[in-house]
Amino acid sequence: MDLFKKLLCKRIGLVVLTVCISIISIAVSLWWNAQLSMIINTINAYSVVPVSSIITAGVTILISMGASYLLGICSGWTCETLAHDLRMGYARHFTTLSITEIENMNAGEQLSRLQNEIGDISVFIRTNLFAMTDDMVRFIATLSWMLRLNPKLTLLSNAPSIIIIWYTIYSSKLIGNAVQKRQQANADMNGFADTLISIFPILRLFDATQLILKQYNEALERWESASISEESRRAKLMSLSALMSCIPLLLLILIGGTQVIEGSTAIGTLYVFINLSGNVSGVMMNMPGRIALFRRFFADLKRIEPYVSLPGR
Amino acid sequence: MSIHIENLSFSYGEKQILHDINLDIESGENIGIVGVSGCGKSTLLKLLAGLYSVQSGIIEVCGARRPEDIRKNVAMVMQSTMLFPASIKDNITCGHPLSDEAIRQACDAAQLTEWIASLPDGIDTFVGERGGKVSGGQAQRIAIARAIAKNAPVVLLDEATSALDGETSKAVLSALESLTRGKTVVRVSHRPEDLSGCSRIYRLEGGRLYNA
Repeated sequence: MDLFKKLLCKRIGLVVLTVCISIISIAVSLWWNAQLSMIINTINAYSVVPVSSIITAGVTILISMGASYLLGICSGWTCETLAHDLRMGYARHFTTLSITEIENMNAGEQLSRLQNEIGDISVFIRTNLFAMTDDMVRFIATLSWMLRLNPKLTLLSNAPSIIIIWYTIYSSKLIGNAVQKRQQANADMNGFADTLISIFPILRLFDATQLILKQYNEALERWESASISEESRRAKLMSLSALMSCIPLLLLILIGGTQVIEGSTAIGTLYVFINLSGNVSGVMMNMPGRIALFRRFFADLKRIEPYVSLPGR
Repeated sequence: MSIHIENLSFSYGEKQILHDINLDIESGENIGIVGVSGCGKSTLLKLLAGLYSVQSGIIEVCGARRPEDIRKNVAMVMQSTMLFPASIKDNITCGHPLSDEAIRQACDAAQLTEWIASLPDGIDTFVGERGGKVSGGQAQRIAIARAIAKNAPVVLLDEATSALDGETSKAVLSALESLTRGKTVVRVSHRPEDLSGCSRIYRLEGGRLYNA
């Protein structure tokens, strides 16, 4: 966690800029939905949509497109910079070691660390970090706006989300444990290859090939078993999560539809609720996977933290 | 004749390491080779162990000339102890079917019995990656026990006592004495004092062997 804070603090300007663009992007998206709701309600009232409304909607679409472009550029730039800082920190760490410490290192394990943990962290930063931040901004902004538009419909349709959140926390913890076991087994297996090379003369001299092959096979089986267990656990937890995530949309159609029939809600508002439900329930639906990824990210960070030297550490 | 070396030359690519080495060692003889670091001592020992193939000349160990046959007649202990990431028992037997009695005898001779008895898992204790869970002296004695258990007629010691200190030294030297008793021994070291007890000592310099 400390390493993550350091990484973000080092590039705080870029991080804040990306979050700000994300906020602007969702604000424009909500404004577009408000325009859309108004147009639907006008058509539903058998009225002609004013030209000014159409122009405003068009301009909003263009601004939304620009904001998405800026968000993509800025988040990509920030992610690459963070990944670069991390790799440089890892390289810098080796320059601070003594010759004895270097000699006692297992090259296979270090290579494994570089290929797996740092590779995974870089991929996570690149593909998930700002996607998750954007999801969070989207979730908070949309939920707040929906509460302002129709508190009753928002609360009733999203109440089951509390159960989903609880389930998310529980399932991500289980997935996180499985991920850690698999990563350890993977590091052991890669370290074994390096050991094999360093002890090769003894292996030949004492004809110990069968012993080492047996040991390697055991390490390989441990890794296979840990990987299968992780995937199986993830599949079970995620499928149940997908089932639960359908409930908010069903409730939204049921309750919102009733309100439209009773005349307490406009059809345009219901359309916007359905259109934006992905921003709330969709985020929740993805939450188990995202939190599992986040836990894996932190597990990776924890494992490499002693091997990364960022300036000022 | 236990070891016969005739006109042996060896090079790493363009770099000639050994030039025209000739040496005969009788069974049960204990000889030493001294030389500065990088002079080719370890290369000569690896050739004698059958780890390298002869490029030019002849090496015969207990009548065997092919590296795979030579290796059957040789046990070796090196300065940097190389342990398998396995139990103490597996490190001694190397996965071969040895009787409990043979293992016990190897442990006794290598001064390991008392220490093994104090371990919760005894002889099944895992030594860690690169022997990281045992001390340097203990790792060295496990390597000696492995060489004793092999019961090869020729024992090669590559700087086997160079990294020893204080209390460790006494136990390892005692273990080495058990290992080399009645065997043909070739020791190499960069320190002449490590070769006390050798019947003949040679100096390896410029790739050639001289009487020291």
